Amino acid sequence: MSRVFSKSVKMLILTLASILVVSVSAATYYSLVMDPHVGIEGALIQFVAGDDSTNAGATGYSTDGTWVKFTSIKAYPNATLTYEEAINVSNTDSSNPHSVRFRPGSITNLNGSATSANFTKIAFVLIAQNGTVAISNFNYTGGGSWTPPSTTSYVPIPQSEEWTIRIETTATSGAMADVMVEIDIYIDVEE
Amino acid sequence: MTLSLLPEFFAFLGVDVFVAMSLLSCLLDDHFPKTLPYIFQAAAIGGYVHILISKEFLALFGDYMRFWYCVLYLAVALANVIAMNIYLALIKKQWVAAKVFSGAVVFPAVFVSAFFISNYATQFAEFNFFQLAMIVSALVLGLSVAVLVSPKFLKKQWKKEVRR
Repeated sequence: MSRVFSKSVKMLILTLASILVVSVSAATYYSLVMDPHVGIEGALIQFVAGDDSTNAGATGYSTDGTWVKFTSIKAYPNATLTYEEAINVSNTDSSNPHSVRFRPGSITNLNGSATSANFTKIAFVLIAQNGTVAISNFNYTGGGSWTPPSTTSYVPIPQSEEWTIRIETTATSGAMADVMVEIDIYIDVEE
Repeated sequence: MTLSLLPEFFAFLGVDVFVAMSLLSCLLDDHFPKTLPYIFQAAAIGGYVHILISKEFLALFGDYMRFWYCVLYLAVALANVIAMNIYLALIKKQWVAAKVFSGAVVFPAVFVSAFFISNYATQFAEFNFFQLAMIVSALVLGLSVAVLVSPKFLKKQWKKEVRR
């Protein structure tokens, strides 16, 4: 009887010790497995071609859809030139909306300090799929020096929708030909 | 998303083997030395320390080194299981118990370990242990069914072989 009791106690102690050892080992292994790592996947909001992308000289967007450069945007003196679909912005996520905003980067005069005086404005407008203007106040105003716009509020793009970026340019009356300006703007995306 | 195995998994498997052996040798204390469960328990704690050290020095030890010292630990654990079987068979002369032990403990432990090692190896090379295991299992199953259905047939064949 005492032998059975002794064996039971021994077994109980070993079982408890075993549970402890296996639990802490599993927890340590789990902490190794759950180390954070970074995976690369396609951007959810991507630039895609619009009807006027070719006229605006849009390049670069076809690789990853994460950046675009316009090489042929023009401005007419005393007139407003509009590229209705300079580039489109597509929410490739089929289940969730994602918000975007415009944020100004740098602006560089490529023909000396007089360049800004030749422009009245360069505006970027975000238009929803149903034609509603979502962001309209993102204007670079010319003159003695450039007045950049403020960062806009976030606007949600519904899932699987394709919105449009419209670019409007206006040069001053009697503006010089061949003056050029380079503008960097960012489109921030809320995941 | 599937999570791939880390080399420390083999050390964890070794810990499990030692813990199971500890409890088994305690249950079968008439067949094994009395101190064996405690030795196995200590070895299991050693395995935990092994994983802990591996975690702390993760950046220092490369994948290659981590794999080999973890597999070595698992190999030691399996060697102990096999040694227990040999102890039963040769020292204690308990052939029936040794046969049962090899079928119920040694074979599953070695098989499961081989499966996980091959699973880990497929991350680096195109070798699929699973297909091989399926073929071996099918053969063993076929033979077992044959023996189960007609055990006398096997005995007759065995006697014929002996007479020749």
